[in-house]
Amino acid sequence: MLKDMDKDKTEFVSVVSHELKTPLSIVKQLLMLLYDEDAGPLNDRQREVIVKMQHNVDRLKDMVDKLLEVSRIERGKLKLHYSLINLPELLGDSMDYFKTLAAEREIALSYHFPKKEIPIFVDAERIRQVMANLLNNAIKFTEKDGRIQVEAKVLEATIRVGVVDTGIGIARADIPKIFNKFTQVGVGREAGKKGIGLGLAIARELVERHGGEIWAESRLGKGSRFYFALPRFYTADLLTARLKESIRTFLRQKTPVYLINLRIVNYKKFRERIPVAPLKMAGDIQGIIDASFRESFGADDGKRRVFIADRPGGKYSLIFPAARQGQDSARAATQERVDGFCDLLTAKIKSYFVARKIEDVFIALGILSYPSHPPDEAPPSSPAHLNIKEIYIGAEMRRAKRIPYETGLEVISPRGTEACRSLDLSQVGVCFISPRPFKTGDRMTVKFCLMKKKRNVTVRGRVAWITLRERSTDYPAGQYKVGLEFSHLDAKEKSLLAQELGLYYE
Amino acid sequence: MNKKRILAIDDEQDMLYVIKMQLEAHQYDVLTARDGQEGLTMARREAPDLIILDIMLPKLDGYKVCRMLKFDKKYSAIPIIMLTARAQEGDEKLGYEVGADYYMPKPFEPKKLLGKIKELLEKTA
Repeated sequence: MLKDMDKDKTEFVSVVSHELKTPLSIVKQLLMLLYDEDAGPLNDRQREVIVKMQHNVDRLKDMVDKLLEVSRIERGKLKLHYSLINLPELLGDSMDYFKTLAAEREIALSYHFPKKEIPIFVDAERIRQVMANLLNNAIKFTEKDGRIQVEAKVLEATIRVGVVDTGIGIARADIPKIFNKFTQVGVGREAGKKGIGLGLAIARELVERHGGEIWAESRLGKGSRFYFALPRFYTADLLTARLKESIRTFLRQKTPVYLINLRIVNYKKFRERIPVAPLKMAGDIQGIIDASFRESFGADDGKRRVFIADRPGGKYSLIFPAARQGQDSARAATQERVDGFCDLLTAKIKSYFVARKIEDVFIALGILSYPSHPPDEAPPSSPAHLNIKEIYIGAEMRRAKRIPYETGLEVISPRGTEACRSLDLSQVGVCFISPRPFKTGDRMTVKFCLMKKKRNVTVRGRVAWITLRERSTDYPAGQYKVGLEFSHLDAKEKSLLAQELGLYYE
Repeated sequence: MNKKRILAIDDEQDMLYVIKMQLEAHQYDVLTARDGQEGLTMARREAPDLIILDIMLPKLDGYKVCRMLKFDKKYSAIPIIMLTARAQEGDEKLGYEVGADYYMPKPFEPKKLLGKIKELLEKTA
């Protein structure tokens, strides 16, 4: 019986999915009751039947979750919560779980990533979801005694993660389609492997929302390689001594606090592009923070909050106490109000820059909790805690900015020379169309003529990513879009490229 | 020895069925209520040893019920476990802000719930 649909008139899928979850959840609960013999003793066969029922209910639940996810994505309701995390840690979190899962099917799973810290600015939970999807697929489609390898590589402007298996592989004709919704390819022999065909579509959406790329290479019968690459960000030193001391003061009084950090990325370069004197801009930003605070929490004497500005560094921090339990006053800093404050601040800052014709400003909101605790271990009587929100403002990392650029390219690789056409160019690489495939990591040299500078350049590079486009009448054999990352550019080449691209060389 | 009494408040009849059966199999006496108003009344009248409270309830939602009991000296000592099917971020924080002692997503593992109940009852004993 569908409940009141007034609130979600147009979100049919969302409502239906929610309604489906309740009885599913109850069935799961009833099955657990049976299995635990709380409703009476069981014989072996009955237990077997219950296990099969649980398995199928889980499949159903998984499909409903995915449908809901897709619906949320399509309605633009997916909000990413960024934080600065260490990639090896993120991958390592679920390593044991997947190794066990793989071992159960006699598949060897190994992880390879650099020992050093690799900071990335992402929504950790969502990236975990992408990894889980790729790993679950790899395990599903690899036979006994097969191997799966997870690898992470730090490239010039991106971090690339790969899941490589020796499984059943994917037919060439199917590769362009696998990231589409409701597409299932090469289903396993057992009926129990079928899903709803949304996992990869969701993974793609999540990776692309992060500004990254996801692609696959595969040979039927030999195995598959799934890769995704995320943009690299910078390391931000989050808490200076002054900040830490201010926070400690609040915490000593057993007051939970919020810390809102506003960071302008690549500040020195950013300052040069803005037609406002740096001091004035710093003052303006401070004014915006003030105004937004008053709008969200009401006028106050400014005594309860601490404001720290590091103007030359482009960093601003605001610390204020969170609403206490039961505190209901209109000025209390509840989670809702703080969220509203951050949204308001983000919007005002964006308009500030847009009004000054800086359009490629990116503003990302990061949420870090300190101290962090694992989600399923609830701290029922937690001591005063710290909530941190980070807001990053910056121009897109200019070195990696791609601009449309079409010209002829000569691609020289171990197998010969091919004439290709470029699609876009950046200071770190070029994207071109090739009739034949390459492998991620392949080395090659490209020669092309710079259209503006009218100079020939010859640069070496490595394939950073490659996607297969579907066949068309012009290209019956399909087309490969190749992302090439330049390697070893010397100062002269860098300068030439920069001038060609019209960018300020740093 | 007196059996401990647990009040379960949920608008889904079958959820109450499951909770009742599971808890009774583990030597607890179970009282049930099907909406927030009834739950609040029963809590005040029966003074149970522990309350299991769903969030989405008709008449009075779980948060309000929790708040009203926790802010009343007569009943604030009764441990409250909140259950929810929603997995939205604000939920847990709100749950703790109104004073819930624990917060469990649905479907829950029976062992986990029983463990938590035992732990909370021992604390107040």
